[in-house]
Amino acid sequence: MNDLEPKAAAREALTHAEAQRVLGCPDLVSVGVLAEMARKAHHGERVTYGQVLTVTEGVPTALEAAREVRLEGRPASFEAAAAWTRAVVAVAGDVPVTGFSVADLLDLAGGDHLALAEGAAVLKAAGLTAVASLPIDRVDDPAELVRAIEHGGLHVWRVVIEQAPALETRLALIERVTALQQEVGTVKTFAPLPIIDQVDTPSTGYDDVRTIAVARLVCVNVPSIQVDWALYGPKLAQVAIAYGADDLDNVPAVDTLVLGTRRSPRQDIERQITAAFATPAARDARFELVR
Amino acid sequence: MSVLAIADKLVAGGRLTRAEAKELYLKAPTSLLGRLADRARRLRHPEGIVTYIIDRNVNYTNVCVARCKFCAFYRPVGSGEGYTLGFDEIFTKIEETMALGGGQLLLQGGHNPDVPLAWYEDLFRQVKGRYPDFRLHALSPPEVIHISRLSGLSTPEVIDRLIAAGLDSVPGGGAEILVDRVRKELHCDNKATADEWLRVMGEAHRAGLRTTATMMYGTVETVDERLEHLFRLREQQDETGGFTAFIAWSYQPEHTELGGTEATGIEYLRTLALSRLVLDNFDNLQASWVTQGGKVGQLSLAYGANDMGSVMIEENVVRAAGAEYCMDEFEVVRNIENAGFVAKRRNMHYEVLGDPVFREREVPRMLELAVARHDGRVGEAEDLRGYEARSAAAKRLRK
Repeated sequence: MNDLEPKAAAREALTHAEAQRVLGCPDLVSVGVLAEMARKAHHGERVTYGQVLTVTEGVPTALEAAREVRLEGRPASFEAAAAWTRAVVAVAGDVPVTGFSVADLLDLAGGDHLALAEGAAVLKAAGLTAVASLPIDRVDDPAELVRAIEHGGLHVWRVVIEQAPALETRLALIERVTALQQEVGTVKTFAPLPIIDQVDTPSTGYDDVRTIAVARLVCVNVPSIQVDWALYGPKLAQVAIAYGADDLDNVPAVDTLVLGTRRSPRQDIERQITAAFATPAARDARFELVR
Repeated sequence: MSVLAIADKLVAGGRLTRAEAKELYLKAPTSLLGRLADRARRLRHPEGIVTYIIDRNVNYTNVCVARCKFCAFYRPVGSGEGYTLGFDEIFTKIEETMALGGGQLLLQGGHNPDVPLAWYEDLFRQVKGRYPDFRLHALSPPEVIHISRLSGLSTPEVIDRLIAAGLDSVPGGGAEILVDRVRKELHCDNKATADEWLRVMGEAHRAGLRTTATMMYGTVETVDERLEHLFRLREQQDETGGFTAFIAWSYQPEHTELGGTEATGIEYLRTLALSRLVLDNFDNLQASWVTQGGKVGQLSLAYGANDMGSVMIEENVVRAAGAEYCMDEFEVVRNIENAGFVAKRRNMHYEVLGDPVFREREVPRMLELAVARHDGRVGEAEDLRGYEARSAAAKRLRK
């Protein structure tokens, strides 16, 4: 892997063949060296985190430490989504409200891009800041969809993968994200670890960290490589920092006291980032740093 | 000495001093620690094999007088939630283990004043009578000390009696951190001081038994104390050479009196890597997937581990403190092979037994670990009635 280090340090994208080499490399520590070099070239020592209050129905009663309120689920219609958004925005105050996936909204629009743009405008008017995610594996023409959403006045900052058990599939999707960003230039973060895993044969630690590393080394035009803290758990999410991740998403906003009365989720995430030899920084849904 | 100079010394075959180990732990990048540990692992195991064992963790009783602050498993004497398994329950567990291709129980439990030496001897004899080839990896040093105190026999005498009854090897539990300041603070110095734990291990080695060594880190110890633990193990191994493997795991804080938070995944990988470098006289280092989860457990193979530990089948102690991971043989093997190694089944002596059982015959998948009693029953088994009790509660019960 030594021969790839100059590319990593210069934020130069790996070729397909090079990315395949990294994905298949059994020398995991060397993969980490390469990806960490790239992460530092992009972000220095800083690793950001976002405290998200996920809402699956109704309206939250308290925002706690949320820097983003995220509406999750497939709404029945744009009108229903707008009504829900309005109700949540009313209690969210200054905290940005994001929600839904581009793929689900496209379904609501019957696959029609113009209807998608109109639906986005309805949601924008209801107070939505951004569509929460673009699942790159579920859509055919991601750039056109982003443009349609943006035409309606909304942003699509976060690209995710919903399902991709095979490494080759993951690489193809990673390359798709690079191509998307070349066209739209507005993607702020990419979460390359699949949201849905197989129960009886879950993705392995090796495959996960190599996926993160390759995402960082290939998607040099995407500012941030993200791991979902709640979904992947503190241990893998923290280790991912050593393999190229620079943002930890979906950190709980509500203190359930699981960590004891003396430690909040914010204190814990900062402890974890610091223990990974990085400098923690809180951010909001817009990826702007917050105090 | 600088980190790079220490790395050079290691590559040249030098042995780490305590000061050098501390410098590495505090200052070396995780990648450098990983590289050095991986190199040390490869030198010791150049064939690219990663081993695992099919055995079952059976906790025969949760009644315990030690009251360690970090333990969420124990129940005090007289508790309505206390249990002690009967022989038949243990035989059933053995048969279930054998059906999955296992050949050993890891048998450990609380320091129950109402379970005398004769109970262990009878159990071991009956196990060996029924299942002659089945191995008993049983009773950590604090349990041996507890039995010694109950019986009035010395620990070498207890070990000899247990060997005569069928004990095959001794697990390294109860080591926690082998520094008495830490042990006092954790309230576990009464079950065994650091010297006592090491002494019993030495006695077991001299009696011909092989044992493992463990470290539970992340409670109240300092880096210096963690290192003292490792160096005391290295000295013991230099002296008696009976440790087959070292297993480190992070303290699991849920439901414990001590509380607090768990050490992070990166701390685990760094600690594991450093252990590989300090314990240069240990052949085997296990990955603790049961505390770190399957993913970081697998990553351990890049940071010095050469063994995926046990399929476990059952686990009660770590689960009580909040960790509920499960890996059956299929998963263990899949993770080993995915990391680029050859998976081989082993016994407690780390002798290779063969290829995965599920490739030889059909074995049912196991997606969650069993518990001591699946129906949640409490209380002691009937067959304990014939044995001497020490506590007033048990004496009343056994009248």
